[in-house]
Amino acid sequence: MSILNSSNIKTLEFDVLVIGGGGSGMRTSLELAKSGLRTAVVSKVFPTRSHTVSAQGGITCAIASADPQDDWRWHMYDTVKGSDYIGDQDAIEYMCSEGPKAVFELEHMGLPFSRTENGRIYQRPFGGQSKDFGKGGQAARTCAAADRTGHALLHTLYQNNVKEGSNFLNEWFAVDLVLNKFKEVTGVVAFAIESGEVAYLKAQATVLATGGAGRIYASTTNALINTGDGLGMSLRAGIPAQDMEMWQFHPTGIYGAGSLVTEGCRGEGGYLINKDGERFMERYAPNAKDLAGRDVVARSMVLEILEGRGCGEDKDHVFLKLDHLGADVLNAKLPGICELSRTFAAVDPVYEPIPVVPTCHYMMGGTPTNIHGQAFKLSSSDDDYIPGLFSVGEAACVSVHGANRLGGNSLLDLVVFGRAAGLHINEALKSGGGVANCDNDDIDLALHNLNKLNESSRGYEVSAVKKELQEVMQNYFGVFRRGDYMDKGVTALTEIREKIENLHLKDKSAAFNTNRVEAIELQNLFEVAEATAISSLQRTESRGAHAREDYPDRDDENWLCHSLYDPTTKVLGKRHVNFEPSQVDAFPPKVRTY
Amino acid sequence: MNTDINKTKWKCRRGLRELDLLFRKYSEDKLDSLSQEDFKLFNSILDMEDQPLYDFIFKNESLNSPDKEKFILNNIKNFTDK
Repeated sequence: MSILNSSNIKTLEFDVLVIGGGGSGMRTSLELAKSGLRTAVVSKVFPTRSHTVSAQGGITCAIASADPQDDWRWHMYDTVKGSDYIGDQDAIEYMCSEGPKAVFELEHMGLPFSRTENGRIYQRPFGGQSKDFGKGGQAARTCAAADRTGHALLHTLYQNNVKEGSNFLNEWFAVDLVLNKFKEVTGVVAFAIESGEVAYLKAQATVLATGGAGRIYASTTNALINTGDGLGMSLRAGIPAQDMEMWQFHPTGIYGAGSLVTEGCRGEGGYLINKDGERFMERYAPNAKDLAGRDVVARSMVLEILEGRGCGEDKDHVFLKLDHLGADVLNAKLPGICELSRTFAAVDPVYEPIPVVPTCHYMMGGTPTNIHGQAFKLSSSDDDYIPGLFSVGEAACVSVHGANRLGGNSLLDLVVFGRAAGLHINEALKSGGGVANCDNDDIDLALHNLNKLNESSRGYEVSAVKKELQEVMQNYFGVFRRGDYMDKGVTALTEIREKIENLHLKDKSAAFNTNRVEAIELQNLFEVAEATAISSLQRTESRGAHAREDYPDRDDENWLCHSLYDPTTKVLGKRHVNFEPSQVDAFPPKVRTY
Repeated sequence: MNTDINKTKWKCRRGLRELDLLFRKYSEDKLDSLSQEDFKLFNSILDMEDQPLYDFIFKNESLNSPDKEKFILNNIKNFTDK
C-alpha cells in the first residue's frame, strides 16, 4: 500500500460533518438537513444499530403528562443534586426547560410513545426523580415507548433524516481530525470500511457524536462499538477532555459478559452474597442493605472481592441470590433476567445464584462544550472555543450529568443538545461563519497515524494489548480507587502507551479489513483511558461516581469544579462550574442524601 | 469469500452488548465452515434490527420467521455450551 497523502486521496466536501450516527448525531444532522445545509453523517455501523438502542427505559422530561403539576424546575433540581453539584446549572436549566419542546417534536415526527388510557404520553417513575424540589415524593417523569425507547428514537430520527436529505456515509470510519494553521477544525480523514478508500472529508463544522467509551474497562455494559472514537481523535489533536474521572458503574453486570441485571431483582427481594454465603450488604448499609445507592453497593462488592471473600476460582465476583423467591415469582416478574442468566452465565436463577460484578455503564466526562455544542479550548475563558469543532451526546461534557447521571437523562441530553447544536451551526454558517481552508501539510499530518499503521512490519498485537488495557483500567480505576493503586495503574499505562504507538497491522488488505478499524479503535480507547487515569488520580476527593478510599469526603473548597485534562502535558487543570441559570436561582451545594 | 466473511463479521457489531456477545462468538467459531445456505441465512438474521432480535432471544417474542428462529435457537443462543 502506497503512503497516503493529500495528493492521492480524494476530497468530499460538505457544509457540516456529523461523526457518529446514534441519537445525538442524527438529531444534530436532522436539524441541519432541515435547514438546507449539506450534511453528512459518518457512521462506522448502520445508524439504526447504534448503541442508543440500549437506552430502553425512556427519556426523562417534565412534560406534565402523568402529573399535570409537574415542573421542569423540579427536574432541574433532581439533575443538579444527582450531579453532586458539578453539573453546569445553565446547561441543566436549558435541558430541563427546552426538553418538552424536543420531546413533543419527536412525537410529531412519529415516535410511538406509549399512551395512557386517555391518550396522553405515558411516563414512568425512575430513581432520583422527585416532586417539589425533593419534598413531594417520587415523580413519574420518564416518557417511554414500551421498553424499546432507544430503538424507536433511532428509527424516528433515521427516517426523518432520510426525508430531509441527510447524506449517510455508512460503514465509514473517521480516523483523525484535520486542523488548519489557525487551529480550526476543517474536517476529518476517514475511510470506507467496504473498500478501504481513504478521503479527506471537508466541512465548515465538524460535530463529534461518537458516544461513550465503556470498552476501556474489562467489564462493561457497552457494545463493542463504544470505543470513544471522537474523544480519541480530539485528544490526539491536543484538545482537552473534562471530568474524565466520572464513570457510572452498575453494581450487577453478569460476570464475564457485562449484561445488566436490573435493580428490580433486588427490589423483588434478591440479595448479594459472598463466598461464605453471607449477605454482606447488611454490614455496609444496615438500613437500605441491597437497595442502597448504586455506588454504595458497587463499592461494597469490590471491597468483598479485595478482602478475599469473592466467589469462584479467582474469587473475583460475588453472587446475586434469587432462588429463595421461587420459580413462580421469578418467571412471572423477572423472565428476561432468568433468560439472560441462563444464556450468559449458564445459571438458572431458580436454582442457583447469578455471578455478578460491578460493570461500567456510562461516561459522564467528554469534550467540554457550551449549550450550543461548541468545544472549549484549554482556557479558563468561557468564550474561547475551537472554531469548527462541536460535540454532543455522551461524547460531550456539556455538562448536565456532572459526577453522576440520572436514569432517563441520557436520551434527553442527546435530543436537546443535538437540536441545539444544529440550530446554532445553521445560524452561524448562514451568517457567514466558518473556517479557513487547510493546507496539504495539514491533511498529511492527519494521515500520519494511519500511514504508520499501514506500514508496520512488526510490533504488538491488537487484541492482546486491548485485553491488557482493559484489565489495568478495571483493576486500578474501577469502582474502588486509591492513590497507591492508581499510581501503579498509571505506570502500567505508560508501558502500554509504547505498545499502542507500535501496533502491528498484519493484514494490509483494503476491503473490509476490520483489523485496521480495531487497531485505531484501540488507540482511541487508550487516549480515553489515560485521560481517565490521570483525572482519577489527581481529583483528591470523593464525589458522585468518583469514590476514593484515601479521600472519602466531598471537598467543595478545592473541588467544586470541573477537572480539565490537557492531553499534551498530561496535567489536570480546573474549570469553574456554572452556577448562573437565567430563569431560576442557582441550587447551592448540599449534602447529597437519598 | 474472505471479504464476504469479513463483511459478515462486521455486521456482527451490534448496538446491544448481548447481541455482540452472541453473534461474535458464533462468527468466530463457525463462520469459516458454514454452508452457503447457512451463511446466507445467518446474514439475513444480521440484516435485522437489534430490538426484535433481542426480544426474540430474551423475551420469546416471535420473529415471524421459523427458519431464522430455528437457526438462532440451535446455533446462536446456546452461548455457554460452546
